[in-house]
Amino acid sequence: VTVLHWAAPARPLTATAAAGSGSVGAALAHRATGRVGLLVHRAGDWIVVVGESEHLPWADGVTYLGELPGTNRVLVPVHRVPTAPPDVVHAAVRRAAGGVGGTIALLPATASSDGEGVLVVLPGR
Amino acid sequence: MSEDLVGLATSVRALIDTASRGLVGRRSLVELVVLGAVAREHVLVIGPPGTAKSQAVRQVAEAVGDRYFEYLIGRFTEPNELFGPIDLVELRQGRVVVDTRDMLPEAEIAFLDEVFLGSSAILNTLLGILNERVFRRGHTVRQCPLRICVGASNELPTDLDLAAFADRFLIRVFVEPMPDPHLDELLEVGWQASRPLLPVTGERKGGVLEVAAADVDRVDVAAVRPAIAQCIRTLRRHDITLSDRRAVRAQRLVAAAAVLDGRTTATDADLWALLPAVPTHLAQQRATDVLGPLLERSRSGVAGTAAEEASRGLLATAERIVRTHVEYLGLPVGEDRMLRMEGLAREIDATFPPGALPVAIVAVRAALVDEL
Repeated sequence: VTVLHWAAPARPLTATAAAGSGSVGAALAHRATGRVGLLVHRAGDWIVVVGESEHLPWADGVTYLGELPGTNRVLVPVHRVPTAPPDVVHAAVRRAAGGVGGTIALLPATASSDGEGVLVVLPGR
Repeated sequence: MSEDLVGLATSVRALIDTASRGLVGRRSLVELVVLGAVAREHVLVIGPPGTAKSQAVRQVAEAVGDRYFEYLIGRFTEPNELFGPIDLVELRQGRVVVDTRDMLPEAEIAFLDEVFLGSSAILNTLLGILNERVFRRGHTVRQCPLRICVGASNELPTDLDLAAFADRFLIRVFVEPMPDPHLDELLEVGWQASRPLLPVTGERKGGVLEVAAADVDRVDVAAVRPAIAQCIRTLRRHDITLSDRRAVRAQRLVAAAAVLDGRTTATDADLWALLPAVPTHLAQQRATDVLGPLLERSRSGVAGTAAEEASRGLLATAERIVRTHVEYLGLPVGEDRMLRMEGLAREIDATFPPGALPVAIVAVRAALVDEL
């Protein structure tokens, strides 16, 4: 997915998921193991743990995600949101994900990128 | 114009100057009250609460030296609250005589707030006072020295009976909250008027709250006043109303917040104290959102939780996290401590953008990374 611009929201979104790739993802999965109320999803190199804010695991380098206001279950980083209108983002993400109806995480490809977004589709939700 | 009249006009102008002192944007109201007093015609002031209506009339009465009566009428106000109690000694003789000492029938200038809320008994008696300057109740009939009665209400009545009563007020003055360009002046003048005439000096006596309350009068709010005005303007732009009176008095909350944080100079760290002055729950919630960027530097050493809740300010959150970390460091090593420390790390990373950690949080986070 190509996201034109990302920007800091006026306030951080409420975290409903924790995401990480590589060793960060592995650490998140490890910490989430055995904890009640958390769902761990793997998609490629990414691990996304979904649950209540106060139960989410932490690992150094984690990206916390929250639902982008104005969308239905499109998660974006709590500190970086697409600047495009939410309905446009919602439609583009759904289309790019092949029309699936579950929760979809949209992450910046890199910490500094202002163009590419990585889609992580969370099955079964 | 004769010399006498020239001198008289000069005196009246001086009187208006005196009565207008300390009032921002209310000179025309003072002038119209004086006009009414000279013409012996009553004034009806229509406008929202907290717009210095009663203050203006009170200052006219003080400047003139007239006997003044003021009352906020409610639906349950009884006639004796305005006109005086029934004389019980006379009542035993079968006579209904009203003791009017220091009450409306003996006033020269009267201010009746929410005047249309009065009962029919009150309004009927008032009619006689307004029209004929005669007070009649029971066996009491007396001439009233009333020069002018100023009634106030939020809006003109639509009820026909009340409209007929309202017609007795020949002069209509419509006041509005202070417009944005005058806010800074309103705040400054209002703050000065709320402080003791003499500088607060000498030994600080009394209990801790008494001393702290006295310290509020020593606080310098000048530096943060433009930010306060900016907050109020921002609220207004979002249709969140803070009356002029609340805006002025909210400065005392800001000053008190500075005192509770151990300072005698208010700064933008104290702006969180404006939030509790917003009058409704819904408006407070909206105000928290719209004032967010202006309240970001809010913090308080003593009232930290209130500061954080009011402002959701990042600095206030940072201070709480630092305190909590110190507290957790005292816990024995084990799973409970680990989970609590993880919770702090989670809060830090979910609250502060990477690369924008407050200075106080950097060391806490580094310690958490080491421990976890």
